[in-house]
Amino acid sequence: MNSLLLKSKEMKITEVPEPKEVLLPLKGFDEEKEKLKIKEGSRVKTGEELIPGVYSTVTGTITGIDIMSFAGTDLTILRIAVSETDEIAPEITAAADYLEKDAAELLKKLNRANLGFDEELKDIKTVIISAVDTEPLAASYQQFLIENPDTVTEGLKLIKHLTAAGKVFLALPEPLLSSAANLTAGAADIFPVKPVYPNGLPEILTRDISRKYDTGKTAFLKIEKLVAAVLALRDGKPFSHKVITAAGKGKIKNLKVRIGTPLKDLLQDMQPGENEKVMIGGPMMGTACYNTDLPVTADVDMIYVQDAAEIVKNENNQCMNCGKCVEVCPAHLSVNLIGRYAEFSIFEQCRDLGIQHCIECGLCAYYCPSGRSLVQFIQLAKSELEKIEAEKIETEGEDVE
Amino acid sequence: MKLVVSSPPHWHEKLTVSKIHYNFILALLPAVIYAIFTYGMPAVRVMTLAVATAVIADILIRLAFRKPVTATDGSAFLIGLLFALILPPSVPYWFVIIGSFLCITIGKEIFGGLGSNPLNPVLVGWAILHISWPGYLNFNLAVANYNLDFPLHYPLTMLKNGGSELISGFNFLDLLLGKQVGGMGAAAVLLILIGGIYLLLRKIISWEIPFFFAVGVVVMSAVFWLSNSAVYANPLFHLLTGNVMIGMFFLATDYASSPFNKWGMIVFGLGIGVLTVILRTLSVYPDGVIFAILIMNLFTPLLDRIKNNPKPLAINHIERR
Repeated sequence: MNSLLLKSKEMKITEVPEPKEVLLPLKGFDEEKEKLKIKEGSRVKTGEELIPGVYSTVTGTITGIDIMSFAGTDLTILRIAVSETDEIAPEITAAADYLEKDAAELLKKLNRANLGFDEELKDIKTVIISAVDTEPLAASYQQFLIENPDTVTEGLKLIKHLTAAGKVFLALPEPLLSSAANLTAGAADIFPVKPVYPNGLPEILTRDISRKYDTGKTAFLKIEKLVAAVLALRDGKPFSHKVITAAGKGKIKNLKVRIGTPLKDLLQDMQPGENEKVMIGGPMMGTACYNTDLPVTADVDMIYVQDAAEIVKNENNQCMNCGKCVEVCPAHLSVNLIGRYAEFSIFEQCRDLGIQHCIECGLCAYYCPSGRSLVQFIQLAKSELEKIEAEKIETEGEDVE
Repeated sequence: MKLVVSSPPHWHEKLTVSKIHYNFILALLPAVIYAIFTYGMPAVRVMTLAVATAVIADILIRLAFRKPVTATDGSAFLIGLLFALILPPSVPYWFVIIGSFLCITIGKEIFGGLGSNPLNPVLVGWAILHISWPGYLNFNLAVANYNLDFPLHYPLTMLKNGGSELISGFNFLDLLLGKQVGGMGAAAVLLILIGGIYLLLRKIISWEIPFFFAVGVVVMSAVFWLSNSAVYANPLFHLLTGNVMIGMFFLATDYASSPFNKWGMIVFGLGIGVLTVILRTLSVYPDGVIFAILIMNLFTPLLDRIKNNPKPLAINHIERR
């Protein structure tokens, strides 16, 4: 249907030298409450809790708090100067016999190790573990599978233990099928995926698997987190490193970086020039950044530098009704109509056309010959619909009174 | 250092509106060459006049409406060219100018320009002329002064007047190779087919409309033919004559006036095919393709309401951190 192939070439993961400074976004930071804990000059260990739910990914000294702007929101960023020796917080312990322990206790331990597992995992029917990359240039998930086969096998057993899920699926790109056949050791079913965008997106994977099997309540897990979970429980290593694909300037590579490393440290040999674009995420769903000071966070899988000549200028011409967007939409939405309704602020019609099913994969705008910013229109309509919904609830409340 | 910031996706397939129109024109090129070789300078005269009028009319009307001039996107050029290719080569100059002007103004721009026209612009112009001055669209008179190596009778008029006995002289291979009287480019059935296949391969048009158009023609004409083969022509004759081939790939597939979802396209194609044969057989007009397309164009908004079921992608529990 479309020609956006996912990468299937092997790319060795190379380790990046330790950064001098690590930046950590403090989610839900409340200055009043947490002033005492985070003090300039105080030392933190890797895995130490900074504020509730945020853990340090490095050993070092706090040097200050900053505000940075990314994708329209302001992030509170904690700066930590990295020490030479890496010390792990004493709360994180290794246990070779972890598989014999209680699942609830293990989940708590995993969250303590900065893995952010959901407590809801307990009553899940199906778990999908994905080794399929989400973006056209990315290749970090599949490389993870290639380089850590034994840990993956162990991780699958762990998942079975943690969730009591009836089914565990390991989704992997078709080219890897032969080399990974014995990997699951009976703990999971293999689900081969055509290496074409957007087949690796969690929503699409979950739908495709639920079409073939009876799945019920489903959880989705990146393969990297599966491996990190094993390392945390077995070896007592908190989740402090992340594998990402860095692409740009004709280069493409897999890097193992410490979470919190600023982008500029990773872009040494692909330095963006004037009027070029740097994005966190890939070419289809990535978010462009204002500067390269932003850090790599736990949910970043890719960074991409785009040359000035390759930057797409949205013309936003009139829709010529060619129907290409309808043809490629994985949710089978009438994108042409949604785009036009959104453009002329008729948001209720967008809802009737099923706009809530859009996952913003960007295929419509990629193919649109008129260069319309369809994803932006959809985002606008979604946020306006949310406002309308909120207003409705408010006025209904008044009526009751 | 300044970085560029914009919303995703950051890639584009780079098939633009102009490229689509130029591809259409490229696909019509064999038929244009056929027209020039078969009919000589009169064909060149009609084609250049039609294209020039269309482009100039497009520029003028957009200036008058205070909209950006988009003549370079090839849309007006394509409309003018298609209009010329379904005309006989002998039409007077004023006829071409009026027709081409009507295509652009009443067919396209008055509704808001590219993408907003409810009917195929080419056919709007053609239909107005056909009803106003039917005499000039007589294909038999048009070739009266020519000395060509094929029978100088419009096959569909023969069928209308004399039933299937009169058309037994036509050989299907000749019809396929364009050795027949008809629209100056539309008669080159094989060359149009090649152009159409090119568009299909480039994925500029989708296969549903042409395929089900053909299915409609074949099925409906087979019904007539099997009921009385002495009066009605066989399906192959219907496929290879008149505007069926050019209609299939170039006229019915006009983006704005055809449905955009699969089921709509299927019904649309079938409808045109069936109506074409019914009009050819039962109406006073020899060829029904153009009116069939115009009628089905009117159904397009309705056909677009055939539910294009949104496939829910929101799932109960996804962990995306």
